[in-house]
Amino acid sequence: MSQSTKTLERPETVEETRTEHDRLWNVIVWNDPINLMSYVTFVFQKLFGYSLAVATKHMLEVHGQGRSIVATVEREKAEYFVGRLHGFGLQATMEKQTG
Amino acid sequence: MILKIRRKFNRSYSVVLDTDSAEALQDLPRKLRDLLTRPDVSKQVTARLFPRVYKDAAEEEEYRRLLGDELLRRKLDSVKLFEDTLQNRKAVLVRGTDAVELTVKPEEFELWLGFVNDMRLVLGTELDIQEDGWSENFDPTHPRANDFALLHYLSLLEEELLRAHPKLP
Repeated sequence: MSQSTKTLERPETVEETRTEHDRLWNVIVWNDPINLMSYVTFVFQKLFGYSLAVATKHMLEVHGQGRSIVATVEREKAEYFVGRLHGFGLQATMEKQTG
Repeated sequence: MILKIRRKFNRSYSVVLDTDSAEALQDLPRKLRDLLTRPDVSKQVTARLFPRVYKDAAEEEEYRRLLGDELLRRKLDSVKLFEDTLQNRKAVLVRGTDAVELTVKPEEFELWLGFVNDMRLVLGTELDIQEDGWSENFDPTHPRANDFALLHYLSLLEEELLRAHPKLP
């Protein structure tokens, strides 16, 4: 194996690792009949810093469509958000962003 | 019924309740603590308070191993806080009626609210509430009408707490 080939291989490996590492995750909040709409809106504002309008839009999405993607972030951050949402009593999961 | 929540000048929250309501809340911390520390008591409630994060079982297990205790600790902290707040209640008179005042410090607000919401989730799960609109269809003859009434009361308490909280930017 020549030196020049090695030089070519290395960046590819690094690139693959970075792509996997940087893949984004959707944080999804699911509807449930117990949590109050005002409470869910409050949690979205508090946790994500959303304005009342944006928080309400997500809350209505949860309520009307059964779920809303409330954030798309790196895995570690997504785990943090899901943990906090569970702390607030919301049903939340995370999944890899597709496409 | 007396239920008045306001934010005072020192930014703490004054929660004024009638004595009967305060009495009804008295047993809730013990109940939630039992459910949190003995997950075998109710699998449904445990699943509601500690929902899954991942679809994949191995990823879920790893997440629980690393972060599961943190969520439990936070919930137990909220139980202790609520219990302490009830113990430190002050007797007050509201329009000539005996009532109690609870004080919630600003930095305790989220945890206190969290306890109220967790208790709502516990009751709602135990009552098998599956659809919106349960509060409008209240049936006083239901065998668990008292629990429905308690859930309704906790909803009012939560709404009032949110109303008393300053508007978020």
